[in-house]
Amino acid sequence: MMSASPALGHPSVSLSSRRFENAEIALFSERDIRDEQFGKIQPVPSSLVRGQGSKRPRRYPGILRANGTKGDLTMKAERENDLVDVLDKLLNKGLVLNADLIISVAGVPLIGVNLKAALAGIETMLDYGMMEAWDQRTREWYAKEYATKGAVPLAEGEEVILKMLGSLWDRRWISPTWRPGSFYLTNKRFFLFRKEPAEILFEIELDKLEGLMIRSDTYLRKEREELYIQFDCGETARIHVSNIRELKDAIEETVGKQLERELSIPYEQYPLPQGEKIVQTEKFWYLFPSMGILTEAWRLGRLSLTNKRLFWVYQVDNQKMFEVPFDEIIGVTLGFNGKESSISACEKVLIIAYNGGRVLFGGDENRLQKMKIAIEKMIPEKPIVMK
Amino acid sequence: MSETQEARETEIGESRYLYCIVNCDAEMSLGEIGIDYAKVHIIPYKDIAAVVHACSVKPYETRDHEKAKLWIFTHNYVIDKATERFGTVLPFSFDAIIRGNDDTVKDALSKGYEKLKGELDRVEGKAEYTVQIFCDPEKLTQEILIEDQELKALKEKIEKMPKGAAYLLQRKFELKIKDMISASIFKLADEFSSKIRKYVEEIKVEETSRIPERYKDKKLIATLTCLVSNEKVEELDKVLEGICNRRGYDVRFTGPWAPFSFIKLKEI
Repeated sequence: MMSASPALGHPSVSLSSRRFENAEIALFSERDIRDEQFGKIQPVPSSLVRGQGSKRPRRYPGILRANGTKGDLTMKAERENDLVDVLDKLLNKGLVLNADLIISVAGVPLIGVNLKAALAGIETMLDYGMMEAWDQRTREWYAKEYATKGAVPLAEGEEVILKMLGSLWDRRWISPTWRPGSFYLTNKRFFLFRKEPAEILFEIELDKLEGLMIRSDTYLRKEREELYIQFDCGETARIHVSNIRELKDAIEETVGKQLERELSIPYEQYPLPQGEKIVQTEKFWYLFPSMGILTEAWRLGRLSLTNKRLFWVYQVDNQKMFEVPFDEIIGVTLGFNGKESSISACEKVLIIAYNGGRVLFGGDENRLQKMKIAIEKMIPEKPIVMK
Repeated sequence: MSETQEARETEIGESRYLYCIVNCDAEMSLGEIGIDYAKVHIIPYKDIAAVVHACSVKPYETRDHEKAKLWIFTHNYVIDKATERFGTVLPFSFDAIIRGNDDTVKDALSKGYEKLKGELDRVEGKAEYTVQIFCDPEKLTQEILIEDQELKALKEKIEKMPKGAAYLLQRKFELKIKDMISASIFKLADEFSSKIRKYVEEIKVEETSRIPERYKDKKLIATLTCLVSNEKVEELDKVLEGICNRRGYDVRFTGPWAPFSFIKLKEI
């Protein structure tokens, strides 16, 4: 389907609104336009019509969702012959001829340059890398322009070994967040680069790497693996890429030694005083009391038990919103959330009563149960005095 | 008839415009389906053949947008016709012209025979498909607000507040939404990249890609070019449907194309 049909001078043939059962028709229609434009109709040889004389009838999936809306029909490859696709494939890809066979002017292959210029503005073409094989000077000029606009900054002699899309857990922001970009492993560094606006979001020289650890964490309610990196100064970074193992292996291979080991990094990196250790931690909802302009609401964060206390950290800003030392806990029990809540996960709640009141945590029942047992183990054995 | 067309015809026969390489061992004509209605014929060598038309030594050049478009579409049309008839082909880029006659082409085929035959075997029964995954940030925001009670409450609060007072909160709200959208995209990419890989022979992530006009208001997340076995297309379809059915996401799936992006030889 040629969405640019009006440009063909046939406003009456509104192909973009037609839906073709198969691409055969689409192609013929396209052919018809040609013919109309040339003022003559040429029949397509019957031997070329699908199913007649063709050795391998080919499946041309029909065009559905032609306007990009979601129908109740299944999704099928569309064969709409949008100019953008055809251009991309026919001008940039496919076989080309060896230089000694090609038609050239003074040894420079000029093929298609004007044609490309006719089809797209030069800037667009440069943007889309369409000039790659062409004019050397244009390319050089563009390379210079491009260098200031988001080329990966590499030192001399630095070679990229692996490039992977991924994200970095950034704690510096107003609220900590995953910042996406491309991770580059070179023979010298490991860094995260964001193209636009160009910025190195994180970098570490390979010889400063102390250790690596792969650990699962829940992300958007699903388990996934993340990579923790420890530097020689003791700081750590937490990253995620689609293929963690491949990245880990590549780093170790480049550095030339095994780096994977158990690192003692608390979940969410909430800073703990010396001598305090995380015993158990789990993502739970916390019924946040109304405060200032904020109303009472369930919020997601992490409930952690250390050897000394229990605390909950809000995941949005990594701030500790609630804490209580174990010796102040009076009792812990599982119950139902009496209050109305649209979060179904919070029907079952863990209720912790302490000297100052009580707090509610919501989440998966099994996990709540496990947490309850862990808390009970930590509460000092003393007669509970309920007043 | 325009001047250039006339000039072309006077010099006809001195070169061959190449469309593709196919599996075929006999000379034949495909009719006048070529560029500017040129007669397309087949030049075999052993069991492979080049699909060509005779043309002048001049490359096809024009500054006329419409004409260029017709040429390009016709080039692809011939490739499609050849594919229908001979199975998966090795497509040429537009404007690949050999100086010489049928024998010159035969000679080129004989020199490159091993490589060309190897490539034809490799892509047999497969086709190229392009998958573009888009998202609609507005719809994703709505989704996030349904999921996240706290953000929803914040939004409602902002709406009730006077403009000046709401500014900082609004800013914070927007930043948070932006982060959550990128998180959602990463989650989707994670989930589907392994699923998509299962049904494709080869996959390429396009660094640059062009977007059709009607998708301009959406955000392009990725363009993937995949070499897919004919029998696996339906399954790939289903996986993509899975993405499409998510609110806020959209997939543009085009094909089958000749394997433009997957030919391992760059030139013959």
